Amino acid sequence: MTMNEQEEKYYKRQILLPEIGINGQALLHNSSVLIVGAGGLGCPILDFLARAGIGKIGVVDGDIVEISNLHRQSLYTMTDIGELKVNIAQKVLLNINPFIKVETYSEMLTNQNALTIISQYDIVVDATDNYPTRYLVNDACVVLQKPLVYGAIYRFEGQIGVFNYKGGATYRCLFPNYPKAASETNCSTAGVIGVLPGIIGLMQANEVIKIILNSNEVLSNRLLSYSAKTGRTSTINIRRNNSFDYSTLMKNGQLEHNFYAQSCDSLEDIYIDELFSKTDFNICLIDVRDPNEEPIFKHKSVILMPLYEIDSVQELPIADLYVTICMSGVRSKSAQKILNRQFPNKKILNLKGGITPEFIELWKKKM
Amino acid sequence: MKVKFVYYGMIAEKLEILEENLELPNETINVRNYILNRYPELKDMSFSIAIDHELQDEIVNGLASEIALLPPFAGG
Repeated sequence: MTMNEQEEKYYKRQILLPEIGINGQALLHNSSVLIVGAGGLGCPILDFLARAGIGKIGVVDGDIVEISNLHRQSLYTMTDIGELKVNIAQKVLLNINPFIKVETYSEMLTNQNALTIISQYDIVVDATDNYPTRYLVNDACVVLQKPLVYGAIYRFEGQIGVFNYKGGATYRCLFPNYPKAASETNCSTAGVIGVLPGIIGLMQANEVIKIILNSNEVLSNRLLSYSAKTGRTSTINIRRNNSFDYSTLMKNGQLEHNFYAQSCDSLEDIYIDELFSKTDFNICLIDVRDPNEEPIFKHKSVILMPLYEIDSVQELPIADLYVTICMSGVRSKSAQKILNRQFPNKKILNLKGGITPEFIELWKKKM
Repeated sequence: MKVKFVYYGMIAEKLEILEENLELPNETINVRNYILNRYPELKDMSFSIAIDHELQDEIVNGLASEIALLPPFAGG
């Protein structure tokens, strides 16, 4: 890396540190980091990683700035309300440090775009605010073998850890599957003290810098908890374990078919009109009636699994979404519960109300 | 055997305590079953269990000194 005079002045105070020096600054300059989420955690991470001189920073977020963001999301001001967060973030970051590149993705990370976006970066930072995206980011990092710097907050408490670093523990070694609905809260529903994402976000930024500088003390295989209310900190050790089997996800094209639900409540119903409007999903209908029950739906998207055989089902065909169906919606509800237990990472819904004349009519029209 | 139980996030909120000392039976027990039996209000919550700062099998045989219940956090 050849720095001009201004750049040298910019980084002078950290180049003075023996742990960084001119070589460390070059490592920072030659690295690329993707920050998923430009909210409470994302803002301080972006701010300080830009100042540290990370050569290429990517930021993914499809949200716009709202007034309720401003008490904690430090890149934005009142005049930015209504603007895309990534656009403002890019502008602010390049003002902070014109010697770096900032790439923006004004969309949410999905199972369709995750691998393409993440593959272009060395390190990924989870600064999201919901479980589905956290699981998606983790899985994509495992598939692409990228280190993941995790941070999450709840009211006054935060968690930080580095996952998938040099084959170390992953998020699913700590929390194998989606939490139950009762555990699902985020800043918009639970509330949050503004300084907390600042504290946790900067600890994440610090871990990013440590990874780039080849520190021996990266917070890998550990989870650090911090309480802004009591000052309690604690660290637990996590080993890479087999709580979750990644082998299916590792296969080519599987991540794109794993459903990262927008709700963690796995016992959901779907209504007939919703079902038929979901044209962009690959849906598999699971007919749990007895094989001789009329009417019979013959189609490649329908599989027959009578309720009494449902607990012996070993495998489901590939689909984005599964919908259990029966005549009234009662047997299919039972089947859905059993299948949800057997396949916790598949999105399985129950057809509310069952196979009504409306269903049959829409089915005929569509098929 | 006295063991310190440490609670985080929504679990600490639900129980309204950060930590407590509990007398565990002098035999091998499953910590999750023990705690859900004691606090049925936690049955709909997700949490991982660390025994003496190690995330591991949720079984205790009489040697633990601290058990932590860690729920996942979504916020950011």
